[in-house]
Amino acid sequence: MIEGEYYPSGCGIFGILRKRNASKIKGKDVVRAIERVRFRGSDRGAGFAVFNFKSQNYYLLKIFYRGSEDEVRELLEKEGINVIDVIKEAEINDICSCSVIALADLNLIKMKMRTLNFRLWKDKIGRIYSAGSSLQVYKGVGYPLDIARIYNIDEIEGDMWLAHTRQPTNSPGYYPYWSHPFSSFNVAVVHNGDISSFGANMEFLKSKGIESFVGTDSEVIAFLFEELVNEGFSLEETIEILINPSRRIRPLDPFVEHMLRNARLDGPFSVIIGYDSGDDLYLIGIADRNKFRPMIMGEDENYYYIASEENEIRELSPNARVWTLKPGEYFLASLNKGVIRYGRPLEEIDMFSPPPIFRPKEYDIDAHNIDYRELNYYILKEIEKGKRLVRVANVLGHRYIGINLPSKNIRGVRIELYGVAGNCLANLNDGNEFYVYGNVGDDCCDTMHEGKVVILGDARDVLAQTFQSGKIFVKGNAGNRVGIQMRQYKDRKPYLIIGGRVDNYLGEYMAGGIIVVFGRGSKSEPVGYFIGTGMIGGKILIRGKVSPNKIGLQPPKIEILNLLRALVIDNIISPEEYEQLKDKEYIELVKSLEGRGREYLRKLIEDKLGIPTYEYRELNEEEFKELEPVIKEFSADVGEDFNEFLKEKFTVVFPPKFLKI
Amino acid sequence: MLISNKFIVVPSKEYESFWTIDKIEHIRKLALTGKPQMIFNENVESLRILDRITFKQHGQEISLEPNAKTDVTVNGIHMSTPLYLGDMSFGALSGNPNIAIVRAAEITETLAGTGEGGLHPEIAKYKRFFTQWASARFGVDIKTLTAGMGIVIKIGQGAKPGIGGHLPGSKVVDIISELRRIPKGIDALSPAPHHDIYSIEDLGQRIEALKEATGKPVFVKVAATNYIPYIVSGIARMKADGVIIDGHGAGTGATPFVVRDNLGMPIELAVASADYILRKEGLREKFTIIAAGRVSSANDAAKLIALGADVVSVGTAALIAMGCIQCDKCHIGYCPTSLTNKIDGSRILDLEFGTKSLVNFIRGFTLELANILDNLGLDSIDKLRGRRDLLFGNNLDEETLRILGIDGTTYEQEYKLGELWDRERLSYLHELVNKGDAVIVSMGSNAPPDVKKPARITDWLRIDGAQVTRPSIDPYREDIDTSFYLNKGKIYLSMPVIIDVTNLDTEYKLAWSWASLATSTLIFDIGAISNYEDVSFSKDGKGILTWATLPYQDKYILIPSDSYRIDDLLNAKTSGFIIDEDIGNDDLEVVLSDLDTKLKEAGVRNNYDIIVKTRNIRDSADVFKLLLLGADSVIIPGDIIFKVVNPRVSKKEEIKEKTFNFLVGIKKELALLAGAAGAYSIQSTIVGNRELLRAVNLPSKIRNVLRVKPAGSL
Repeated sequence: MIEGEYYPSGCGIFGILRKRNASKIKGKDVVRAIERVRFRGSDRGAGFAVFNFKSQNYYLLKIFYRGSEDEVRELLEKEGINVIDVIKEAEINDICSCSVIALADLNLIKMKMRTLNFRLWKDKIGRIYSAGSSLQVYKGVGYPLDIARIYNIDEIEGDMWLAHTRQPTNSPGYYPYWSHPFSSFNVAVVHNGDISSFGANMEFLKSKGIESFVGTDSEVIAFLFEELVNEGFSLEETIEILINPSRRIRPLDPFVEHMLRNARLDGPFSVIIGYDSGDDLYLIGIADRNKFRPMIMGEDENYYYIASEENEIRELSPNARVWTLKPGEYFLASLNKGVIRYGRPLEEIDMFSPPPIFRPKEYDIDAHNIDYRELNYYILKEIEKGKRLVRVANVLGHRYIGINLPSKNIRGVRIELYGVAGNCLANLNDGNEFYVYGNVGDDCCDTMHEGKVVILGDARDVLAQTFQSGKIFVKGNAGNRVGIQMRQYKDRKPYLIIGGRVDNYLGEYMAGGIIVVFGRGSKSEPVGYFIGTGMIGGKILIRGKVSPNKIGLQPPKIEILNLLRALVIDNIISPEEYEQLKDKEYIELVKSLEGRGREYLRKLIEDKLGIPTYEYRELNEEEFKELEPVIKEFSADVGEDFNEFLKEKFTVVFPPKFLKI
Repeated sequence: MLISNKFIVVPSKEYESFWTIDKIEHIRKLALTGKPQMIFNENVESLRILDRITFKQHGQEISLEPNAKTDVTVNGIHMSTPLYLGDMSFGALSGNPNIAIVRAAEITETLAGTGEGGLHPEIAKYKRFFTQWASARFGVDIKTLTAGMGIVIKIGQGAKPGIGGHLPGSKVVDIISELRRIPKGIDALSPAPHHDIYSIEDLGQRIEALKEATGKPVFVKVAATNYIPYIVSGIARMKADGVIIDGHGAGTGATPFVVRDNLGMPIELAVASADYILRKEGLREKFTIIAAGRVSSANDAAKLIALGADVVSVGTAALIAMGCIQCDKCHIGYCPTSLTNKIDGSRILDLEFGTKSLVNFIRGFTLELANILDNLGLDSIDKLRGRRDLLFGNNLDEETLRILGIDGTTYEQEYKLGELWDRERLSYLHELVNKGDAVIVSMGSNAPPDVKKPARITDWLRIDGAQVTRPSIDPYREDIDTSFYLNKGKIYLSMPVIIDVTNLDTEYKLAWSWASLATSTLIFDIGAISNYEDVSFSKDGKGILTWATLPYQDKYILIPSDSYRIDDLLNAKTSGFIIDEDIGNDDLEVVLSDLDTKLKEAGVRNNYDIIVKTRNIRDSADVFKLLLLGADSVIIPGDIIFKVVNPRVSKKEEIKEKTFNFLVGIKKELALLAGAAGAYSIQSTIVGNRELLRAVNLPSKIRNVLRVKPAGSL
């Protein structure tokens, strides 16, 4: 077998599909959206995929080739493909990018795409990088705007688009081969993340006869997708297999799993797939089982959106409703059928905050058309002028807001942000207040030491990591890995209050402080899995009853049952006890067992920190006294009364041996 | 209180160790005298690649007043010699050693790294150090970040790529608890990944944030793992000022044994390959490479600089200069030399002794380096950097020479040289069967093929550790799935391990059967064990799985590990193959990989299971590497525990518990290894995934059969 190269990279991604009765999407809007996250990529590669659904009897091929149009024609005709036309679209570092209209049998085209690519790539002289009846990929070396100019993307219209800006670790030869999107027949893929299954997936594909790879994750994902669909799996099954959900939480059929070893994705990935099934166009968004990479969904009257960051969507549709996928979930919509799967129960989608307010009546700074560094500079200028309240309008994806304040020793200032704040807001915050009238991106309040952050909309992933003291109030939802490694020391204690819901890994490795999740308006449990995993201090309070199997990291049921059977054989427990224990959740079971049985069970399952424990109850007097003023302040800040909730019952999660610091 | 203020006797080791008495004595002489002792100490018989690299031409004269200049300026910081005293935290070290290191850096105009854990108040008085932004942010605030001359974002370290920091609870005393703001007496665990850095552009975001917040240079520290050239290139592209690459064999206060010994590659390959790609990408200028991991002398330093490093980092060598005797007990907290002990007032390093020894060491090291330059006919260290043409590789694999970018002689290295078991491996096994948990050790690795002699092919292979481009996964908290389906999904194993009990007495067969049931795995025998039929993999057809020596549709066929038989097996009607090394003539790794490859070429691989069986298995890393080469499960001999358990004096209950511990320990370690590589599902992601392996100087002939890339290759 031939060993391939591998080129890990990062990026920004975007996808859009029109609704059935909406007009086509203009290329220039897609360029605007992806240019919003220009900083996620580099000048080393970008691209677009456009789908225009129609039934026709010819196919569109795109090829990079070290040679002329005529040579391309000759090359294809030799393979039995009837070439109607070849147009040279661009020349990128001595490589011709040609668009080909061809007549041929579908199976012949598919087969030739493989065999020709194998030959071309062996000598690194070219690559067919797009093939399909409705799909065309445009890609090259540069920022999205550069690629758009080369191919005149602004003027192209489509039913569905994908876009990508690439941040490579390296860029072999500065050639366009490694730019995204990647395509297989009628499939285009953009993704963000570096999958650890790459080598395994290649093994699977090679065993299916696919031997030629330029060596990126997106390419492998495109091939896997096509292969699985060809093997007869439905779209939904194919996506489920790719997601590779946890065997414990959402097992696939064991036979299918066994036969598809090496065909599943692992590690971090956000993937957008565009697919023409022949009778419909599909837009698919996939999150890995823990949603390690950012991705946000949007919908308005005319379009469905998928993006790395909210600002891409807001650029085109300030009032779209947006939501995130649950970890290990997917979004699926089609041109004809509309939304097939939202990637989250509808009732949870309703809990996401309404569009932000971008412009208050009065403001000090307009962030429109200025970058984050300028914004931070202007905020600092206002403060130096003596202002204690600085209002900023039209915030849209600006990162690092406030990061320059701690080293200037500025404290006690209130900064109001209108719009969508970008990643890393209020990192290292030490005594200032930030009010966001809208949503914020990832990594908000990392290592915050003092002060307050109030978010009137939603926060995304990794909110309040190693938050040490002060208050963080979120009126709406927060995402995954919220409040992880929070800690307290002596009189310095952090409070993280969430009005809505959160996803996985709430309070992971928590060492101190208090997290409250109110789940206002929530019809189901307002938390995901793995609550308080590795927790050694602090307390998590979730309004209402939470299933014990969501707390900590818990073992597969079958392994517990086998251990219990072994304990029966050894007379450590009686058969009657087995019957009583066998249906219990681990967290209950470990409490019920004693002596050697418990020792064996814990040794099998836990590390020495153990898993957190919980109580379902009303707040005790001490807790109530501590939290009442905090929640009063929270209610006042978010403009809604949450005080009454404090009288209800909570699931209180705390470390196995409660530690006072 | 005991005051450590002199060198104590170095105990002799019961196994081969990188830090030999000679190396320690050399450092001690430098620390005592501050004068050059020895240059160009050649040792081309060594298995370590760097030792096999020599300077082509040089004199031998040692002068007390050499002429060449050793000073360098990196990112605006002037250093008298390219030496960084690397990243040992307050907590890992006991306070005075931390202060001594920073004072020595100040006195000698070099640089120190504080490691994670905040600033010791005494250290805050100085300036010549980098502070650390690590995954737990212990002790990090704006004051800490701006206190030194730069910031290091710590992604990984050579002693445990893909594994988080671990300060045992016994060492978390009052002052440590205060600085780190964590509870006293509880293990201080730093997550394996940074939860805000799951991708290369995330790293860029954090670099930019720290620069905006502090205005200081930002470095990124990573372990040298499979994708190191790409990772370094990515770090430079993300506008970091430099990288600290920490090679295999670097020291630590606590690390899982199997991780320490089986992940990552030697620094010499990593530096050569990183320097190469940075130049190719036009990113080398103004970017600093600090090379760390097993830098034991000025000679090592000179060679690493010629391969492309700007600065070298010493950790273990600095500890040795302050009296460390390499007793490898840091994780327990009773350091006899008061360097890594628990801070409990019982013993303390004399600060003056520590500082003076370290200053002397640095001065002696600097003079040796200057002497090396003189003897190479170069007048400054700047003229040595990147001069691969001065180097010569003695008896290395051709690919290794190519990666290093140097001339040399090639050599078909014998690949089975050593013994399978030694004292270090036995003590690992002893602890595994007694605790039933991943075995924790301290200080650097002595693993083959660099130090100990390789005993089987797996000894030449290193596993990937996820660094920067994807997150490693914390096995302590995350849902890493070690379970395996066999036989078309009909059988569930909690881990890909089966115990061979064929040669055991009934009592022990029963013990293993019980443990296999309790841990949801299988035993392998001729006849099924009664009451344990549903965990028996037997020949008699009474177990849950059946094997035979001839092919049958619904049985597994047991075959000797003989390469010549493979082609006949490709169309076999069978549930799967059991390749038995104990009755074959060829290496299991080779036969396994070959069968896996050929079944894939025939497009039928997933119709079968490939199970491998060998007596010569030592730990979870051997199992993991066999999975990476294509095995669906590994059969381990049940009598392995009798290497460390005396059956005659142990009670039946104890044996049972130890079999249980063994299986549980192996399972936890498999999760550790998978997590370090960034994989959740071992069955789908690890089996056959050769991308996650690299071979260190393994002869190309075997490497090609295995389809494993050489370490350091692009």
